[in-house]
Amino acid sequence: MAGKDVQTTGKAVVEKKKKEPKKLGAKKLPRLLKKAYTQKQFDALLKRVFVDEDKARLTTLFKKTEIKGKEKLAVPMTSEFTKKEIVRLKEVAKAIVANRKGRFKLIPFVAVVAFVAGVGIVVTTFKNQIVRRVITSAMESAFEAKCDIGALRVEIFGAQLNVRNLAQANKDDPMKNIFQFDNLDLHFNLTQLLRGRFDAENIEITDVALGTERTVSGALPAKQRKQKAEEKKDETGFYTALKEKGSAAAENAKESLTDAFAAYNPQNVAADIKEHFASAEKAKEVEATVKGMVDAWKEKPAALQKEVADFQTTAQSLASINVDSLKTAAGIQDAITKVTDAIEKGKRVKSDVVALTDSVKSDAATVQSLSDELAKAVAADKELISSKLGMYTDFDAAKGILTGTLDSVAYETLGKYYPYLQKAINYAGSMKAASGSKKTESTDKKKTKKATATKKTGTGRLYGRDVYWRADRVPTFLVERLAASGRGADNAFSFEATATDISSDMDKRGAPMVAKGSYTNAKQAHTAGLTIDARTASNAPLITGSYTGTNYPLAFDMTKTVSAPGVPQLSGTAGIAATLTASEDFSFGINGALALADVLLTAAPLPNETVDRLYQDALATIKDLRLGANIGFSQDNGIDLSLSTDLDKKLMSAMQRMAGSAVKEASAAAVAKAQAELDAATGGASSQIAAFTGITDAISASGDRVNGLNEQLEAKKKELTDALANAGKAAVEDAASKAAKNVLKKLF
Amino acid sequence: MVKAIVTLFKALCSNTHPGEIAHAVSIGLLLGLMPKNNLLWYLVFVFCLFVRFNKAAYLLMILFSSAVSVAFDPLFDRLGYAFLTIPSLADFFGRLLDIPFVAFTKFNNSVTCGSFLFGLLLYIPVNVIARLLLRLWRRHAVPVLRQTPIIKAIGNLPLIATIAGKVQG
Repeated sequence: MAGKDVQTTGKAVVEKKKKEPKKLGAKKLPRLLKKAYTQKQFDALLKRVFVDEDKARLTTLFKKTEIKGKEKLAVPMTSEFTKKEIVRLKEVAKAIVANRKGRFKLIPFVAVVAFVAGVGIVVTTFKNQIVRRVITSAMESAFEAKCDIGALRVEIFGAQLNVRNLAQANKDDPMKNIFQFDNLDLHFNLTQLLRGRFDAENIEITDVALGTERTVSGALPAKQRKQKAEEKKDETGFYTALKEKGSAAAENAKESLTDAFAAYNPQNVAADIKEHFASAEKAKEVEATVKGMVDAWKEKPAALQKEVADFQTTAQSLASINVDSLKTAAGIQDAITKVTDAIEKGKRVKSDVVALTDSVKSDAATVQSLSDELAKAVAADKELISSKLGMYTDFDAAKGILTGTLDSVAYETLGKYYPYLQKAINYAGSMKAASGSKKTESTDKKKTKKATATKKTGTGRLYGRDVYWRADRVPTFLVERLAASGRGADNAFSFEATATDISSDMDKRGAPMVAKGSYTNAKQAHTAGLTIDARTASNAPLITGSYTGTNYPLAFDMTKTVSAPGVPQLSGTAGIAATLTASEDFSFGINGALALADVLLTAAPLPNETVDRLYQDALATIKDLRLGANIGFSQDNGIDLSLSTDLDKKLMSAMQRMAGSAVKEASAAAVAKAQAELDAATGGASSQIAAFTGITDAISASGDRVNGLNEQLEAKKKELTDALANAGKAAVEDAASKAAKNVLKKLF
Repeated sequence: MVKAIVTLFKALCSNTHPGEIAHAVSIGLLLGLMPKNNLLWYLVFVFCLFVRFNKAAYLLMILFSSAVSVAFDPLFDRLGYAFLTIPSLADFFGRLLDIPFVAFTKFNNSVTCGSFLFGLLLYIPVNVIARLLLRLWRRHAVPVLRQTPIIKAIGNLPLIATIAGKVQG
């Protein structure tokens, strides 16, 4: 049992020996702890130890010892430590060393300062090259062609940028510059720039030239450009209204010229007259009625004439009796009897004529009435012809024939330039919206007091309130004054442009952007003005523009808009005056006046040769024109276009002047044709009336003849009766004479 | 984050100067409370990189105080606005704002100014409290923790040992 215990104890001792950690000498201590310290130094060392356990361990570790006659504290070199203790003491020593160092890290600070200084030196040294590169890249990116800068100087602390001989090539014509200028001076506000704002106090660009020649191609290596799908967004309804009105105007314009001048075509005139003849219907009615009467009466005159002719034969034979040839009373008496019989017959014939005349009288009255009505209808138709004749000297009816065409051109021009206006309104509107949103952040102390701080930033923090102690009139981007001027070689042209208060926040600036410019050359002078007022409290229009120009060469090929015969092409030199106002709701108004001189008007031929000759000649006589335009658009009312021009008036006036012999011939032909048509229409009726009149005339003539014959017979009868009386008297006298002779004889 | 926590824990339990941790906490609180959209924040942040203090405590405090700062924004706004609108300082502030670069600090923003002021006001109290807490921690908690079997066991875990080794290395 005891042996077993000894054995067990022996195993435990062996195990204990195995577990005892390895001891390391004092040499393994960190250098800090191998040194000897005075009491004062050791106390200072302990002050840098903050864990009480470590402090106690060090206190026990360091022992007083005599070194070079001085009493010091040091770790005895005979001391032994476990590895864990050594590690712990190393950490403590390291902490003591670290705690000895000052709070500020000088070396990294110096390094950073040196770096910043280096950046400053690099920027100062290479600032010109850097800015040149930036400008060149920006211009080449914008214009897609090479940009050359002769010299460039940046003065950071002088707040000035000077660029000389900048030439921007034209991407479409690489051997030409879009523009170039000799000098650009930009004075900026450094203080504002360092506050994160660009404030150009003055920008002056001088000796600007346009379209100058280059000696080296300005083309850039081909780059793949993103094709931007330019879709016309029609949120305002402008294009819908434009399409609607433009299409209607184009349709009207297409037909208006042809239709208007068709009225002056002789064939059309004749057809029109024929269509409107009132006498044609009346003539048909008269012809039908009278024809019936003629048919009813046409046999009567012949029968009557035969009877009259027989009577005439008898009457003429009796009338031709020579009374003197009748020797005897019996002969005379016989002749008287015959004449008396003839007279009786004449009376019967007369009676027949009267009866016939009485019978035809009512029909004759009807025919007369119809004839009168027809005459009136014919007179009315002749009046119509006369009125049509007047057409060739009065072209008022054709007024407005170009209105549709001009409207179409105006609508198309409007559609062409509206995107630019839309962009401008968009830009100015966004400025106004930005101004409005910034307003809540306040721009001065007074307003700040009222401002709420509820706006959240992207991180969810409250934005707070910005406080300013002076009126802050400088927005993030501001060009206080921009001036540019240029002059062509040999003073071929000159221009000047100024702009003031171009700012990203007009509310803050308290002023609208105002730009003015003028361009003059030997013949032309142009002035333009533009005001963009994006101040939220302003009542002025968002955009106000004005333009005046003289001798501006202008060419309108209206056939591109309206393809129809007679649509003119116009060219000339224009004097233009126009004003524009636009609001952020995309409504706008344009008021313009155009005075054209040296006008040349030509047009595609009209279908009718006569009218075309007249039209072309009239167009050629027009040498000056005026055009006024009032164009308005609003989302509620759509497009309102009102054009006024003296083109129509001048054209009609010229056409009236030009209405000479050719037109008169044409009109005479038209009238002759119309007269022939009228004659043809009324011919049947007229002939029937004539026939009926012939009948009545024949009846009347027969009556007259009978009357004449009766008068002759009555005269002959009287002559015979007188002859008979004379013959009786003579016989009585002869008998008396004979009786007397016989008596005398008897007496004598 | 784990590295920062381990480093901080190590610093709390070691002989790191209490001032390093206290300043780190104070400055971390200051920067955490401030909005980070201004030059002032970056200036203070960069400047602190040249100051010798506990970076782990600094970063952790920034994260912590950034998280809670949103709740104090109305207070910062009122404080900052009250300070910025002191009439006698108006001229000074006006001139200050005209100095190049100063506007980038957004000191004229009520929340920025208020949070900065609040951080400055808390700097010394937080510093003192941090030192006191640290002293208490080291005096009472560290010896206990060092003897706690759980802490010893955790300290012996391979992952923690590796991290601790890397931190030390």
